[in-house]
Amino acid sequence: MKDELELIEKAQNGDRKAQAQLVLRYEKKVFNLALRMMRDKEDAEDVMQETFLTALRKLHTFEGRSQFFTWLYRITMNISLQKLRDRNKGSAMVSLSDPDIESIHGQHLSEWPAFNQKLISNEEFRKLLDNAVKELPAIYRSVFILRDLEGLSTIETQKLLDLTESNVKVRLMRARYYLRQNLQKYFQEGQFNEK
Amino acid sequence: MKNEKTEKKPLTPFEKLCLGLSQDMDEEICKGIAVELEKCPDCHFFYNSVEKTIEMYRQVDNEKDMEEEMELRLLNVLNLEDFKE
Repeated sequence: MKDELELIEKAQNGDRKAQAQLVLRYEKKVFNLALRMMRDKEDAEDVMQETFLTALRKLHTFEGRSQFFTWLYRITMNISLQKLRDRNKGSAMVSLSDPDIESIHGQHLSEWPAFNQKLISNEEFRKLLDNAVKELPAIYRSVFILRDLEGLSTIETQKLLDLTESNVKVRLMRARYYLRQNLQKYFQEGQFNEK
Repeated sequence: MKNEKTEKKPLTPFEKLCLGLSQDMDEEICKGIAVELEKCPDCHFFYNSVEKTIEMYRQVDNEKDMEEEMELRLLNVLNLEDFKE
C-alpha cells in the first residue's frame, strides 16, 4: 500500500516510469471490467485505453480518499456506461419488473441439474449466458457485474455508481431474477440437461 | 432542526431470497431466509437456482488474460511504450 502511494505520488509528479508501472499494474483488471460491461473485446480495449488516458490526465485530482483501483473502476464504469448508452440509443431494452413471492409459490420448481465443466465449455450455453447479460439494461448490468462478478460490497458499489444502498439492492435483485429466469427456460426445456 | 431517522423498509421474502447471496447480509436476514426455505420447497429450489446462476456467470466470465499486442497498443496510445517491461 505504501509502495502504491509512493508510486502514485511519483506518477502525479510526472514520472513516466511510475505512470507506466501503474498502467501495467491495473491494465488487466480494467480490461476485464470493461469486457464484462461491453461484452465485446474491441469495445473493451477502447474503454481500457480511454480509461487510462483519462486517469493519467486527471491523476492530479486523485487525493487518496479511496483506493486507487476504486478510482480507476469509477472511470472505467463511467466510460463503459456512456458507450453503452450511445450503442443502445433507439434500441429497445428489456424492462425489468419487481418479482414477488407469489410467483414462486406453487410453481412446483425442481432442482436445476448440477453444472459441470462440460456445460460451462459448451459454446451455445456460453452464448446464452452472454446474450442475457447483453439484454440487461446498463443500470442493472453494472450492479450485477460489480457485486456478483467483481465481488465488490454493496457500499463500494453504491459509492462507485453514485447510487443509494436500496438502489443497489433492488437493481441487483432484478438483474439476478432476470438472468435466472432466462436460464430456467432452457433448463425446463432440458436443452442442456445431462442425459 | 428535526432529528430525522432514516427508516429502513423491511425486505419482502422475495427480496430476501434474491438478495440472500449478498456477502454483506446481516445475520437476522440470513436466519429469515433459512426459515423461508425450510417451509417452502419452491423457495428452496428458487434460491438454489439463483445461486447456481451466479456461479455459472462467475465461471464463464472469469478473468481473461490480455494479449501482448493489446498491451503494446495501450502503451503506445499513452506514449509509454519505452517502459514496456
